[in-house]
Amino acid sequence: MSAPAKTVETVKIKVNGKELDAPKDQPVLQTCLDNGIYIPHYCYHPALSISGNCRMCLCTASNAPKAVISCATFPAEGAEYTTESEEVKKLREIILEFLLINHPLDCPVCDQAGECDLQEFSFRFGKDDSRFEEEKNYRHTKKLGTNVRLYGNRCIVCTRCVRFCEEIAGDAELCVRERGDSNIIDTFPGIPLENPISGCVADICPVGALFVDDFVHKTRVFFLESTTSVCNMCATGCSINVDTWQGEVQRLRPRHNPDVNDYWMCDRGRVGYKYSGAAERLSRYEVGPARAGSSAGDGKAKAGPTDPPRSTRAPSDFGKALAAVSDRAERVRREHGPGAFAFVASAWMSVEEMFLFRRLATTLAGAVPGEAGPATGILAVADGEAWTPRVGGAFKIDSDRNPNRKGAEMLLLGSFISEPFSVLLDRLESGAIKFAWVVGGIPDFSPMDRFRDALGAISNVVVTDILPGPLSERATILLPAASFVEKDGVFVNGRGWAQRCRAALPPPGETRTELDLFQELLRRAGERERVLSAQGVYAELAAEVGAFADTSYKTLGALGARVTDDEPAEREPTGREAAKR
Amino acid sequence: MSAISKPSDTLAFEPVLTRYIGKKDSHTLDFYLSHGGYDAAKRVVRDYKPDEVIDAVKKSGLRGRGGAGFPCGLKWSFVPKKTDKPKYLVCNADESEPGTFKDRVINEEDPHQLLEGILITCWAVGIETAYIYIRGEMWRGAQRLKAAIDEAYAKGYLGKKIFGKKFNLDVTVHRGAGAYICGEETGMLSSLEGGRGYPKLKPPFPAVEGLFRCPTVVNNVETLANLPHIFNRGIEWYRSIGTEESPGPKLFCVSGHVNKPGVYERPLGIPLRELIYDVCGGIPGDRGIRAVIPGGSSAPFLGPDELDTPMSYEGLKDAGSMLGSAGVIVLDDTTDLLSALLNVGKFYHHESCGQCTPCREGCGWVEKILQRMHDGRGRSEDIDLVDEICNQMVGKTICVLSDALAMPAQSVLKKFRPELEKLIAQGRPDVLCELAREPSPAL
Amino acid sequence: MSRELSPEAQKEFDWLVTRYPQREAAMLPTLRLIEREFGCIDPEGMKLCAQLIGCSPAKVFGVVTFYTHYKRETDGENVVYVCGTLPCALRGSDALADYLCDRVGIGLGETTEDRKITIKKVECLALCDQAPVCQVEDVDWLRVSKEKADEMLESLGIPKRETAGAAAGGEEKRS
Ligand SMILES: Cc1cc2nc3c(=O)[nH]c(=O)nc-3n(C[C@H](O)[C@H](O)[C@H](O)COP(=O)(O)O)c2cc1C
Ligand code: SF4
Ligand code: SF4
Ligand code: FES
Repeated sequence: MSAPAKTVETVKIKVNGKELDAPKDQPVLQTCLDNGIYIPHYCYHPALSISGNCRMCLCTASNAPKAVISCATFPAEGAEYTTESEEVKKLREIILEFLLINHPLDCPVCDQAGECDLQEFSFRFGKDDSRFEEEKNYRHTKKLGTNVRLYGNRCIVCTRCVRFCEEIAGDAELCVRERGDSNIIDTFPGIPLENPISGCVADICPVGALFVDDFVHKTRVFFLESTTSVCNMCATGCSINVDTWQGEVQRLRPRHNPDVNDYWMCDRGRVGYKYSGAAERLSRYEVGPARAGSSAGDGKAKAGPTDPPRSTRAPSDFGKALAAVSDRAERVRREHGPGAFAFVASAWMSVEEMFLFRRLATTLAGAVPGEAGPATGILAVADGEAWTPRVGGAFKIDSDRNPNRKGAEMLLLGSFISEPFSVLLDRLESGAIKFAWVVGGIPDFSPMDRFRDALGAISNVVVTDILPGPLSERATILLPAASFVEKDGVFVNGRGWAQRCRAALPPPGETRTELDLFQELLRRAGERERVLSAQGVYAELAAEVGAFADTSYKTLGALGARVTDDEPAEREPTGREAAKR
Repeated sequence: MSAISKPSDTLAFEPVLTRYIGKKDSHTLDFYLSHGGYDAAKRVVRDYKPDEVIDAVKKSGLRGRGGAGFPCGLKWSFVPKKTDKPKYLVCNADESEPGTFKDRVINEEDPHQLLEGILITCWAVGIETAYIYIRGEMWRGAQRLKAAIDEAYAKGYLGKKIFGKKFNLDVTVHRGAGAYICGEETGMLSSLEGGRGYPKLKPPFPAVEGLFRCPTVVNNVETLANLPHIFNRGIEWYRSIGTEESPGPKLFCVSGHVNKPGVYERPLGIPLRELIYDVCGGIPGDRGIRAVIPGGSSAPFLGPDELDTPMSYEGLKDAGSMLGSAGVIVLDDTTDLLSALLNVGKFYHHESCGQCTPCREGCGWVEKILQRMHDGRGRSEDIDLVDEICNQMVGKTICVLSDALAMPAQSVLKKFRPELEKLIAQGRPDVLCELAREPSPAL
Repeated sequence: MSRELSPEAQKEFDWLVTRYPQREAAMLPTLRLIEREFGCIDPEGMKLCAQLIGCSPAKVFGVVTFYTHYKRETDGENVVYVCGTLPCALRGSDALADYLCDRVGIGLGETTEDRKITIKKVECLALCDQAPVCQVEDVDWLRVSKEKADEMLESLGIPKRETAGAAAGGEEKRS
């Protein structure tokens, strides 16, 4: 489903005696990396312009008298390049010795230790001892912006961060100041590093000079367990790694995905995991009595906040809570028919959850030909500001702050939701609704007053949510939900790209994922035999929903795939291409 | 052809580039015109096809006077003939190589000579925009050049339809701001583009992709000043001066411990000894010579036994040094070589742009060790260590500033090793003197 | 309030940008202009430059700090540059710098309390045959002996010592 591969012009070269087809416009370094020949490097980054300053990637070439830097060497037909030889080994030792002379060698207290290219290359390619016995230079340590901290003494002045701010983020807030070995990264006095993707400089810093403040002195990186996933903070859907330790998320990092986010993610998304570890997370099933009398009288729900019914809910468990849901639904269906139900999904659900919820709605409410069906709607948060890097690239921050609005449109619009939200509101307020199920799962969600107040007057309100708030307060049955770091499922970003989110942690306390919850209810209603994994549910969905046909967890892989062509497949130039022009 | 044989030849040499230096109002257009100024440019533009100019310059054997000695005509011929992009000339007037002060003289005293050279170059290469990148410290040179450019515009020698031909040329003086590395041609281009003076990766070379990513010729002031004379007096005449491989007159800048320091125009190939003793009146107090730096401080030092080296590109190369910018710095036998080398080390450490790891770190490291040796805390291993660090600095960087410290340093370590060992063994500083105890304009 | 160029300077700037195909290339001359207009290049000046050129202030910051010859706000009214490179050093520029510092009562790289004078070392001024050399603003001081140094300081408002010797030749100062 991806765009047709461009034909690349290649030339034949030899690397360490092995023949390779090397794309003409690509540095030899990249070709080697692509072919599993590792060349240590610092300043080269595939998304940035080539600066060739670190000299770590020196190798020898049959057509050059002196050693050449492979990051700035473009392949010549028939040329032979050597990256493994005594000479190259010596060259690497030399560069590493130089890099380390003014380095504080403070790995024991450095948060980069374990994923530091300086540490790693020294170990792999360096010499044991240094002959430098002079006094080391000192350079500043400071906050460059709200999110980013610089440890100047560890900086090797590779200028990746500066090039990033100029070529990708576009605001060029960073510069190298001074000259020679006084060179140091800095911001202009009073104009800190505050672009919306500033944290990325820490990702690309090859050493421990730049950190996202959130991660400073948190844990040693070698303890971290990494799970590939997708960010849930907006419709961009950046590919990420969720790094956990001791049952907690320690950080999110962007994961390279050329069709989605390149190498980047925004600062908001980077800390978008925080709520998942909040102390006040809902983690207990609670069931209270149906709200009495509220639907009596003139048939119109009273506007205005109602007493939060929470106090009347009693602790329960998964099984009992589900039984309560089934029982109450059953009674409402018998007494009032399908028109007395309301099902409100959210644009923060995975497509599998939406798929199941849609089915569950029919199961619980039933259907009577000729009669009105359940009221339906989707919760979503309001748009934020879109942001596009000034210099192009695949990455942009979507104004849509919902991770799966596109998926909701594909799965729920039409088939499940046929009325505008205002009709839902009217029906909720009409007094006719006796059973409402609201799936939240949106951190910091503040629903419309009308919606909130209407819920407070409905007899049975089932709320599935992550954090306490206006929704959970009005629930008569509260079902705790899993956050995106705790669940498997597929999200479709604003540009129609479907990606897998994976559980990096178990949900808190007794909480079971919505996937389990919905399936268990369906199973109890005799609608399915057993509870499947997300992968199994996705297979059902793919068989049923056209846009997802022929896709599976396998085909989605780590990077996902396009499932709708709403957006042109053509990509804007990457930072490098743009910068070159 | 001609070779320099007898000292008398060179003493009798009639200056070409500097013939009007010191004359009243030599920097004005009136003066220049009254001495045949712009005749060559006029003739070249009216009578020569661009290719013929390049050919003639190739035949003349003119080599770059900025340091590398690259054949001028050949460099021009690398510029693509057919291109949609504009082409540029950048005249390198950044003159900051220690011991070099020749371009300053042309800029200040005979700027029209340079402009005429620029006209010829731009006609030959098809250039309509030229910049003169002059050191920020040279405020007077900048003033004089600007005034000369204004005069030339007024006279129609710059601007549109020059000499009635389809030939437009704009020249702008661009002042630097204090950075030696902006003398390196690609560092200069970065600086001219408005950035830090970071040298650029090569290839692509400036002739193909230089200023604003367009084909660019970079030539030194003195190189360009040679051009009018080549066309006024002919290739044969030009080649009759100097040596086969190094034709033409050359401005030698002699400084340090000589009786008459100054800029002297002599044929290339003049023996170093003759330059020091016959031209510059020898060493103050008839002292001996400890060392001579023949081509700016980037050039390896020569010892007192190498004074017969001919001052030509090939002569100095054979001697293991280089002509460079022909900045000859003479160190008499009272000079403390360690202090001298430390001074050189400090210079390069201060001027390294700091891009490349080996140069950024190496220059500082070398300076720190030299400083320690100088302070009397040297160790016997230090000489080998410095030598080894220098080895590590050579040939691994974007530009050759790194080599420009390493090579002179290594030459001192090699040629004067026993002396340095003695210094280390004795400890500093009582036995040794600083470079000079007093400000001493007259020695 | 942000800074502005005077109308004349603005005119000069407008001319400057016509000399280059890319606006950013006017960076160095624009900084000179700002230096002249406001006496030095301070953060406000850098911001103004960024605004005129159309680049980020950080970029200007990086450029200004790369070069050593712009006058910074930490510099005194007059910066005395003493050439310290080898040819001048061979003729006593270290001793000259010490002498100047001693007389002015500040260290190398420092500025007097009244912010009148800063003394700095500078790399080769390309006047090596006139060593030792100093540059004070737009004046080159050549063959600077102690006596000449006194004369130079006098021009900066520091009276000569009692024991002042003979004045040096007139040809040796250029302004
Ligand atoms: C570190 C360094 C400094 C240089 N400084 C100067 C200089 O001040 N003036 C100059 O003309 N060339 C200088 N050069 C040489 C230039 O890079 C370039 O070769 C020259 O300007 C080309 O002109 P030419 O061919 O006419 O000599 C320097 C080179 C290096 C590596
Ligand atoms: S802070 Fe990191 S990314 Fe930036 S220049 Fe230094 S080492 Fe490179
Ligand atoms: S060799 Fe030195 S001066 Fe030249 S580019 Fe590299 S760091 Fe800069
Ligand atoms: S990766 Fe090639 S020089 Fe830095």
